[in-house]
Amino acid sequence: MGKWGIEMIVTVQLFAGARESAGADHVQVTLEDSARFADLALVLAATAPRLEPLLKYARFAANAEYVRPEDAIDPKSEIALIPPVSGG
Amino acid sequence: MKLPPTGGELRHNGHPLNMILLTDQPIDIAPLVEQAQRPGAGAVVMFLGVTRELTDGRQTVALDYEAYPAMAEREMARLASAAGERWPLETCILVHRTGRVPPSEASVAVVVSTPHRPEAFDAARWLIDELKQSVPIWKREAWSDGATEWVHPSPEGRPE
Repeated sequence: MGKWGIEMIVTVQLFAGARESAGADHVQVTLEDSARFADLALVLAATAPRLEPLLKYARFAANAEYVRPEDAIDPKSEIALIPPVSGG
Repeated sequence: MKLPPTGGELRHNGHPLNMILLTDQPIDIAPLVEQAQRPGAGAVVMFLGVTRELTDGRQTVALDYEAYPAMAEREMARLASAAGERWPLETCILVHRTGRVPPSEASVAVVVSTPHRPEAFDAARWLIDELKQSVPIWKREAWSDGATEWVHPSPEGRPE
């Protein structure tokens, strides 16, 4: 984390096995302002190691839409970790 | 089940009539089939995903489904729209159940109607395949030995 960089706090909603692993329905992490979702995955793995197995194939969503790893993060949006789905 | 008069997204006037529903109630299929009837439809295809009781010698007590509701509805609507672009759908109905689904009960219903049957089969298959890849809904297996596990398949080994 850059000592002089602007940081943002990001809240990530957790579902299913991720919620079970983390023991909470959301987790908060601090990231550099310019962080992408790929960075969020790394920080989550470091902050909540029990999430790591699910992070490998998980995607993220912002405001109920899938995002790409290279997308920028708006901390005001509703961010969710979407581990591999199993509907149907 | 009670169908909302304009549940989900309904469009008329030459466009497919789409209905998207997330419900915690048992899926009542007769109203869905009725909803799929349209003057231009000669074929109605329904797929039901049903809780299987026996898997590799293990017995399932129930599947418990959890959704990220806003996104699940949004993704299902997106799939219905995409299917309507790809096939000449008269109707496209996607219903997914949340909560506990015991063996032999349906967790998901896909109902499509088209003028002719090849497109109905193709569209229904595509819709359920896509739904299972992208809609943010997860199931937890409750086995008869008391174990429970969330199902999060990796890309290589997706269980069925």
